[in-house]
Amino acid sequence: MIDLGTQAISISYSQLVVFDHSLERPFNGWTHRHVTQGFAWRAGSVAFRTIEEGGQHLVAVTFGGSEHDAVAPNALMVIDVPFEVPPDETIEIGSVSKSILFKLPAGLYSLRYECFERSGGDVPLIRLSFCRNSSPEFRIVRAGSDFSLKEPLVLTASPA
Amino acid sequence: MPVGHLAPHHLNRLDNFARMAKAGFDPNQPRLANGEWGDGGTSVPSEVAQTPSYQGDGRSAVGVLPPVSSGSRAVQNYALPGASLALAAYNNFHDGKYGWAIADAAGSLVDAAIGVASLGVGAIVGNSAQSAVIAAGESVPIVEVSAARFGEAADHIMDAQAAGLPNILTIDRLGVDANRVAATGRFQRVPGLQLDEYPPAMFREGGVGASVRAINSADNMSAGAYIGNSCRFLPDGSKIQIRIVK
Repeated sequence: MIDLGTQAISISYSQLVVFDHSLERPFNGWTHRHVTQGFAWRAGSVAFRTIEEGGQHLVAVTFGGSEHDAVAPNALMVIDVPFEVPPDETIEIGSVSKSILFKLPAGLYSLRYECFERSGGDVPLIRLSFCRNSSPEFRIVRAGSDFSLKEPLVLTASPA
Repeated sequence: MPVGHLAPHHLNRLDNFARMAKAGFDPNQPRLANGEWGDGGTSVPSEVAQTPSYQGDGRSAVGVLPPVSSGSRAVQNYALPGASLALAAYNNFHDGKYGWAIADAAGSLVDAAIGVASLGVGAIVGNSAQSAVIAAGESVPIVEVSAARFGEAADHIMDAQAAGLPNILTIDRLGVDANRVAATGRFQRVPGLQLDEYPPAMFREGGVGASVRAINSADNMSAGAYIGNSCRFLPDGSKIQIRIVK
């Protein structure tokens, strides 16, 4: 795994978004089902629900390898989704009010989102891991406390 | 000249002045510069009141302001560059302060300030097909928030604007965290709902005094995403107008 660093990102509207830099409207609309499954996904953009509604979060980004590491025991939400880095190798990670550019090799990845609870006075931590995978799948690895796992996952979303 | 926003009690005062203007009509009082009757008591000297231009927060409108007497209100149409129709109204308050307001073509108040240290200040109304021309040469993108699509989030915006909170907002991403804390910090979280704030925290007008309401999560997250998309390529300091549509 290659560490791309940890960035402080201000979360707004309970969502962290990973998206193709070229999208004009990268942020997705949310349905009730999107909320209860923890993410809203479309090709080029995935928005993950955060535990806290807003404020500074630390977002650690890694890429490489073909398999994700074991799930951290203290992760509260863990979600895997496919994500394709575009040919210009530029993606953005952020939230509604602000995002940060990242460069990653183009291609298809399994993107893992891990959300950790704030401990003490610390800033909440989110970890994003991009693993090379030619057939990545959607998977709720660890559900949040108010997730619903009974209904099928909704694997489409539209720009908000 | 800094431009603020009208608090609800100021809006009430504007409404009161409008009523006074109708009720207090006096045929003996001086006419306005355009020949219309004024509607108040003693006129201020015309050489002072007939200011050739108004400027505020980088906006400007060129025209001759009518004399306005204490506690009165006057309205006059102007054709502004870039606007097919413009209306200017001037208010002179009993306490010696002056206010101006910007309304849309339908006459709804969209922005206002009070305490502007000038005689003959007022409202400027502009209209164009695509955006609200709030003054000569400046247009503000309109972000239309659909009530059908954004449900409780749209309801909240509509109620907050009706209560006097501004609908022209200034992007200020650096202030987002401080504004959020200032607006929502004292509110208890409601299980299953999210705290929505208007004006949103990413705007300079957010923070202290913002309206806060617990609403449906999907509506809140979608509306936030929509506003984020709408502001994606606008730098800090840009203004937008948020308008609720069906």
